[in-house]
Amino acid sequence: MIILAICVGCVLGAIIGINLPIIPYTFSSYLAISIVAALDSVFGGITSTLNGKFNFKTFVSGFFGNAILSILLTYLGEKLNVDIYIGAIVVFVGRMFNNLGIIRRYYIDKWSQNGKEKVNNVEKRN
Amino acid sequence: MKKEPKAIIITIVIMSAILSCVMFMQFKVVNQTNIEEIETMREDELNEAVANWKEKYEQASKELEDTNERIKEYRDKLQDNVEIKELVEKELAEAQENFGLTEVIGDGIIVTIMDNEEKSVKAMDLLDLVNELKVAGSKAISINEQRVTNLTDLVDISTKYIKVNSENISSPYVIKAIGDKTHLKSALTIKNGYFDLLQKEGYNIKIEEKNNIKINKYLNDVTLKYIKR
Repeated sequence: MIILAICVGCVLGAIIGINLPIIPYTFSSYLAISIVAALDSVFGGITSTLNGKFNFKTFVSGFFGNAILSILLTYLGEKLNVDIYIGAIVVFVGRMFNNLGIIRRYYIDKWSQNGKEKVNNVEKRN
Repeated sequence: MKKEPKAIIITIVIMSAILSCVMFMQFKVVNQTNIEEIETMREDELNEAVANWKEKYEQASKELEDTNERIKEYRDKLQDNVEIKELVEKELAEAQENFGLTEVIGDGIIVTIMDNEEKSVKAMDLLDLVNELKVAGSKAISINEQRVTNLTDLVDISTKYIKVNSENISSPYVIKAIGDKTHLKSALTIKNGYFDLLQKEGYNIKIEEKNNIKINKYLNDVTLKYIKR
C-alpha cells in the first residue's frame, strides 16, 4: 500500500515537475540542497523502520524541516559569503551513507540467517 | 500487508510527489543551463553587460588613439609650413562641406509640394519632410534653394508664407535632397508614409528622381556671437 502510494506520488510529481517553468540558475543550488536533505530523511525513515523505531510525525517533520532549514542555511551562507551548503551536504550525504550501511547490513543479516536456517533444517532431517 | 490509515497514505503521496517534482525541476534546470545559459543565468546577463561596456571602452580608446595620432601628424608637419597649410585647408573644406557652407552636386530626389485653394502647406509639414529625408540618409537638403543646416529655422509666418533661414518662401515648395535616390524615394512613398499622408490631406505633392542636383550653400552668418568658450 505504501509502496503504491510512493509510486503514484513520484509519477504525479514527475509530471508536474516537467511541466513547470524553468527556475533561474541562481536558485537551483537551494533546490539541490533541499533535495539532498529530503533524500536524507527518506533513508533515515527506512532505517528506523527496519529498527522498528519509525515515527511518522518525526519522519514528516524531518523531511520538510531539514529541507527548509538547509535552504535557509544556504541563504545565510550566501549572505555571509561562507559556503555553508558544503557543510550541509557533507552532513546529509554522510548520514545517507550511514543509513544505507545499516540497511545493507540488515538485509545481509536477514539473508544469511535464512541460509543458516535452511542448512539447520537439512541437518535436522538427516 | 497491514492496512495503513488514510492520512498517512495521503501524506506519503504528497511527500513523494513534492520530492520527485523538485528533483525533475532541478534536472531540467541542469539540462537547460548548458544549452541556453544566457536565459537562465543572471550572472551571465551581467557578464554580457560587462562585455558590452568593454567593447564601448575599446571603441573610445581607439578613437582617442586616432586623435592622438592626428595630433602627432600635426606636430610632425608643423616643421613644414606648406604642408600644414594644405592639411588645414583640407580639413576646413571637409568641415564646411559637412556644415553646408559649400555648394554641392549629386544624385537625389526633388519633391514639389503646392498649396491648393483650401489648404496651404505648414512649416511642420516641411519639417516632417526634412526629418524623413534625414532619416533616409540624405546629407544635403534645400527648400526653395535655401540650404537646410543645423542652424536652419522653419517657421510659419502666415497661411501663405513660411520662413526658412529667415527668408520668406511660398508655394510651390521645391525640396531638393542629395542621397541614395531609390532609398530616399521609397522612404517617402512607403505605405501610409509621408506621401500618402499629404495626399490624403489634399495637398498636391510630386516626387521625382534626378541626377546631378545642385544644392546651394548656406548663405547666412555662422559666426557665434554669444557663445563663450
